[in-house]
Amino acid sequence: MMEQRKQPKTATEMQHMRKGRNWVLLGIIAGLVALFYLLTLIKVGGAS
Amino acid sequence: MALTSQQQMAGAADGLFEPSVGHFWSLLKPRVMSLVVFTGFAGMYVAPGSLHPLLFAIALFAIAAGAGASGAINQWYDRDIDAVMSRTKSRPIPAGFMAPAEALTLGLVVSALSVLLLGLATNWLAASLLAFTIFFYAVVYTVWLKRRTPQNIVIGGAAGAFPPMIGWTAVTGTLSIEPLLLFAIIFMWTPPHFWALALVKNEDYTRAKIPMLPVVSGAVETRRQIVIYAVLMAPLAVVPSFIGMTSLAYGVVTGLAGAVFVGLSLKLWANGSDKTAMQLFGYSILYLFLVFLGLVIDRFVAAWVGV
Repeated sequence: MMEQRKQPKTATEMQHMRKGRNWVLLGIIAGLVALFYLLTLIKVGGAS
Repeated sequence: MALTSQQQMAGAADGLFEPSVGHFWSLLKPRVMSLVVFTGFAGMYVAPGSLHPLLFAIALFAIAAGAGASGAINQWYDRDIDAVMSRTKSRPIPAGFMAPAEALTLGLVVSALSVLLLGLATNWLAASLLAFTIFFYAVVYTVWLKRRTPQNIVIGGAAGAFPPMIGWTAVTGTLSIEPLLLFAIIFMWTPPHFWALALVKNEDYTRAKIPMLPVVSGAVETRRQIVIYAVLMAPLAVVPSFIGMTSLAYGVVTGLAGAVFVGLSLKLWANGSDKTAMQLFGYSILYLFLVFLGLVIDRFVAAWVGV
């Protein structure tokens, strides 16, 4: 079955959807920053 | 302010149908990713040596991300044939949720990040193998083989066979006979697994003009090839017991599971029914799970009893 397209009907709705997605993207970037930070700590600490 | 129909149409052209986070997630083929994570984990777990637990988790995450990224690039390239196949037409791009460029961007960015992350967390040999795997799936299989030859999934199956090898290399930093054996098991498993499904979805592949073996050579030849690959694959999964990689118990269990695999292939060869083809398809997933779970359990028990 083909899914129903979820279209924004108003400009506000469209902005709202994009805003939500941007927050998720920000979370992913922050997560990656934390991951690389921890990685550096472990590597500098001498773990193999 | 309401969007005019002109704005909506203009938006549709550049992907105004806002993709949700779920659409991006489905672009990464989470079901394929789960199998990659599992076999990659098994490769890491049974490899001699140890990794810091966090590095272990990061390496596994990187392998999963690499698999997902290649899935996104695959969906970007295959959007035309995905749209005509019942199994794939509701994917984010053909269903109109996402602009193709968005999928390609996601695939390329996540590919680069996953390789970088694995290299920094473990070693660059493992990262190179991951990069090669992504290239192999996204370019060699998707672009070069899939639409050209019925051997598409035979050669392309190598992409799905790399994860345990990457996992092993991430821990040890070297390649040896054991990870090559794990690679060979999945490599030989892939054709009967996909051809069993292709027998049932034959019409789909014909409509999409994908030269899968049942489309090009017919059902009888496909069933014959399934038996050949099953007969070659089943003994391979027992070999770890003979090279000291696992216990004899592992060999007995995988030997029995392999015998069932061969038995189902023979049953399919004899009766040619869709029901048996789907039974074999379902069992093949269980079989691969058993083989790799067996490796993990065997290693866990060996460590526990101090062997």
